[in-house]
Parts: sequence; C-alpha cells; structure tokens
Amino acid sequence: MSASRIKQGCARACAVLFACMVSSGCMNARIDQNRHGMTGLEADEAVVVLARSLYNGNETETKFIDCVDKALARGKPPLRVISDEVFRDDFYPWFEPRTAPRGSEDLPAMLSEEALATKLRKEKVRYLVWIEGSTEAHDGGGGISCAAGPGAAGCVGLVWWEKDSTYEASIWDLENPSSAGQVTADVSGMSVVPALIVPVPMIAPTQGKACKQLAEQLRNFLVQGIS
Amino acid sequence: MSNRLRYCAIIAILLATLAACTTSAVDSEFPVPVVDKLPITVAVYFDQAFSNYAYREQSPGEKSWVIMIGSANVEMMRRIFQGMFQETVELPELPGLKFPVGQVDAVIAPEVESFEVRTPQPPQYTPDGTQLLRGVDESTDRFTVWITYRMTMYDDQGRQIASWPVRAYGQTPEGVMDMFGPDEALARATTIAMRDAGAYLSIYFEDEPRIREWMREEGVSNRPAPRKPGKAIRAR
Repeated sequence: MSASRIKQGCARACAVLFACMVSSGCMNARIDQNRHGMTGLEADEAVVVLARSLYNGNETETKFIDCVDKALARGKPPLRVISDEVFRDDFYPWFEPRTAPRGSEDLPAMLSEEALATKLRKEKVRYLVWIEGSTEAHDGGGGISCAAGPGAAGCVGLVWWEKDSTYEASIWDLENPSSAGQVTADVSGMSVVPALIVPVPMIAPTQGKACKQLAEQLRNFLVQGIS
Repeated sequence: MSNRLRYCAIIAILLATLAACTTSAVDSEFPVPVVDKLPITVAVYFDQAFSNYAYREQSPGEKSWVIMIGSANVEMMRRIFQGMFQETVELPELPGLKFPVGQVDAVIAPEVESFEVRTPQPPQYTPDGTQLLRGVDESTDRFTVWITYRMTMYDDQGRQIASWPVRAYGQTPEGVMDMFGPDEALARATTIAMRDAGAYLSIYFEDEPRIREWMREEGVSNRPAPRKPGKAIRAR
C-alpha cells in the first residue's frame, strides 16, 4: 500500500471521527411553559419535587428527581427543597401511589384533612412539582469489530443512537390550592462510539441537560413569577 | 464411606440448600400517618400467626424465597393505629369469652389473608427473535407483591362490628434490582405493599360501611361524607 493511500485513509477516518464528535456534542433542546396563575416564593417556603407514580405507567428516573432537587437547591437564588423520600414519609399516607391526588382539583378535598393541612402550613410547603417523563434511547446503527493477536489488539468501526429526554413538571400551589402551570423540557441528541484501535464513547448528556434546563425554568417560574 | 467423605457430603448439601434459598427481611420502620385522629380507644390483638408470618415461595427447579414479615407487620400496624386513634392498647390474647374489655371502645385483630409474589421473569422470544408479550404487565424485571390483610373489629362486648379485606400492591422501584440485588428488591416490593396497606387503612377506615354505621351510633364520626376510594389494586 502506498504512503499516499495510507494518508488518504487516515484523513477520511479523522473526518468521520470529527463529524461524530461534532454531532454528539450537538443537542436539540426545547423548553416550554404554560402558566395558569401568579406565582411567588418567600425565602422560608419550600418546594417538593415528586415523581409521578410508577403505577400510572410513569418511569421517571430517581436520579433525575435528585438532579432537579440539587439544581433548585444550589442555583441563584437557592430554593428550600424537601426531597421526595422525606416528604412522602413526613406526609404519609397522602402521597403514596394509591392515595396521591391525581389532579390539582383533588387538592381542596385533601387539604380539608386538618392534620395534613396543619403540618403543611407548619413545614411551609408552598409548591408541589410533579414530574412525568423519562430518557429513552432510540434505534441507531453501525457496528464495531474487534480483533486480537499476539502482541496487538484493536477495534474498528462506528455505532450511534439517538437519545431523547422528555419531562413535564406540573406545578401545584398549596397556598391557593390549584394548578399554577406546567414546564416541559425536551432534549434530544446523538450518541456515538467511534473505534480506531480503542472505542471512544461520546454520549450525549440529554438527561443532564434536561435536568438543568427544567430546573432553571422552574426557578424562574416559581420565584420571579415570570420566565 | 469414610468419615471425611461423609462430612464433605453433608457440607456440600448444606451449602447447596443455602444457595438455593434466600431469606428476605423486611424493613420494620414505618411512618405514623398524618390523619385526623378518631376520638376512640382501641385495643389491638396480634396473634402468633400474624406476628410470626413468613411466606415461602418454591417453584420446581427454581430458587426458593422466604420472606419474614411478622415483626414488620406488627410494627406497621402499631404505627398506623397510633396515628389513627386517640389511644391504642395491645392485648396479649383475644379476649374471647372475657368480653367486655374494660376502658376500650373497640378491639381490632388484623390477619394476613394472602401473600403472593411474582418473581422477575426473563423475556421470551419467538424463533424469529420477536419478544413475546406477557399480557397485562410487561415489566418483568421486578418483583411484584400482593398482600391481603383481613381486619376484624369487635365492640367492647365482643360483638363483631366488621370484617373487611385490605388489599395492597407493591413493586420493586426502578434501579433497586441492579443496585442491591434480588433479596433487597423483594424486600422493597414487600415494604411498598405494606405501606400501601397502611395508607389505605388509615385513609379509608371510616368508609367501611359497617364501621361508619357503628361510629354514627357511637357518635364519634369526624367526617360528613365518605372519601372516594383511591386507585383500584392493579389487576394481575
């Protein structure tokens, strides 16, 4: 094989690799909101982020809820966040899969329970944020072949797939028991694993981006009353 | 057979038995329900079958499971009744002929009527590689637990007021199986089912028609109208 052919081959491989890196870094994000009423949050008031029940077919990942909690608690201004697990224990049995209110229209009846209403006031819980959605990988393509021999081993090829993170946050105001609105985040991106001797995974962090953007939008929605 | 060989054989059998049988202990920590307390004093009786309840699941050729829920049963009911009633006391035995029970308005005796487990099933494929669907529920990578408790309530004279089932459902949460293994996954599904039972009991206790009637007669009802029951237990 001539030196020019080898150079040509390397250049082609580098171009493919570069294209892959660029496309994996490129994600499409869409954030939307739908406001039903005025919002606002005092410094000592708390927000609770809860995953919609698995029994309703929802598969929101626990780590996504944790990520939103952390992002809300750390950002500017930091919000007082009560974690899903602590809240469900502290306010048992009202937020279990079978007993949780299914819509904001159930709130007034639930809050007529004096013990519950008193505790919510005492803990200064102002908003419930229900998260639905998940991250899913869609069909991709390509392939990687690996071989090993005496003193040498390596892989050649390319695989890719699409990831889509879609989440919706429904915000309920407990001070004025009703729905305050919804915020949605939809982030998609291509993940690729090129292999030239060693496979190099380049995974599109769609879930992390959806978490950050949803949390930021939520903060604006709750604190400033605008977004 | 020499003694040495005999010992080896016994140890091998013991190890094989232990490897094939897993015992799951269920978490005994349950929250006290945040509900309006009913202004009555209730005596509770936990019989031996309830407080030592263990479930064994054994299918031919498969790993067997033993789930000990006796102490968790007792702890869960204690916490639930503590939140529901103004005062509760425990009886060492069901009074039987010793009624009336002094200083209490009613006696409650819980039992485990049934306990069912569905273990995770690997997906099955047709010869052309198509995955076979399993009908009602396709998520087969988790444990699912159904428990039915039977609650029997007597008045202070020993007359039965009501006997009703409390059905509960629990499923292993996402990620637990991968992170902690099957023993913990089964224990978590069972704990969730028990929490479900406690939640239903504490919220819908007064909606049981016979209890409602008894409370009206006793003049202790707190609520003007029955609550709407929650989501029905998921069909199997």
